[in-house]
Amino acid sequence: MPLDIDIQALKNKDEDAFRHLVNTFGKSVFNLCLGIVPNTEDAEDLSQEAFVEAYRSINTFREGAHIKTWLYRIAINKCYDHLKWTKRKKRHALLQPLFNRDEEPIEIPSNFQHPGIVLENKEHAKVLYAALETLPENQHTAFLLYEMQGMNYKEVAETMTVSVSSVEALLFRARAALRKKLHKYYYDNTSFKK
Amino acid sequence: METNQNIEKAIESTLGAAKNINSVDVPAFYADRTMQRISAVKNEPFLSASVLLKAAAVLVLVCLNAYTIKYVFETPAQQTPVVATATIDDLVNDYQVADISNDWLNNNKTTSHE
Repeated sequence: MPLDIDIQALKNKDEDAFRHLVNTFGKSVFNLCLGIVPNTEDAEDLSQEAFVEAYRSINTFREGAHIKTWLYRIAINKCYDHLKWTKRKKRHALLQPLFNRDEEPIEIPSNFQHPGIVLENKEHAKVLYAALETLPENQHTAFLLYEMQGMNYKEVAETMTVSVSSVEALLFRARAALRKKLHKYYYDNTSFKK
Repeated sequence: METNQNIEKAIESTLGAAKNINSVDVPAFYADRTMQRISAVKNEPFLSASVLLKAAAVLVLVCLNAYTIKYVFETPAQQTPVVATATIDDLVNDYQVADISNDWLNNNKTTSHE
């Protein structure tokens, strides 16, 4: 097993094995959560929730699979659940699923707080994160894992449990949708109008 | 034209921002706090209060449904048949106003259009 993770000890709910798991993957899971929910506190909470969920459901982990991609899947699901919950709290949230997701406007989050983004890049990153939130989940995940987490196609495919060709298609659609949404956003932005 | 170029430039910069995000270290005591949460899960009872409450709610609903179905099937239909025996006289008797009688209505029925 890579990175010396003892799956049997994890399945026996051994605390030392879980501490080792947290020490090994804590940073990458935390950064993954920050990629979806750009707020340090929320990302910490969600990544910890992912480890707790992993503890609860470790017996469903299939031998031979990669523990990292399994953990990533749990963390991604936790983050999207959180995003859905926060969106439901907004006004008119009940009506939103009735309309085409393509028409969903880019809304810059007010609680954006990503320590990994340098100041000069912050405004563009804010817009990018807001635009990503309006994409369908699978396109968002593919873009996040490939472009922001630096995974290759194969790793993205494993994490998302889809084929490599599907990842390529998802990335193509994600980039096209992002360009369209960003064009509309910047066109509507008064500073670009003559 | 210039506007489009500016927009394209802004789009490229925004998409490029994805590549310029640095990896962040976990907050202090991250592992300890995570292990605390895991320990809390480990020590929580198999059937928590919320699970018991949900089970009780489901049980009540099932019982209510069973009772309703039983009631519907066991109660014989007791509907009185509707027979159309009412005449214009009954209608007049039921709804007549003050002194207006059936005879009065019949007498005035022919004269009203004249």
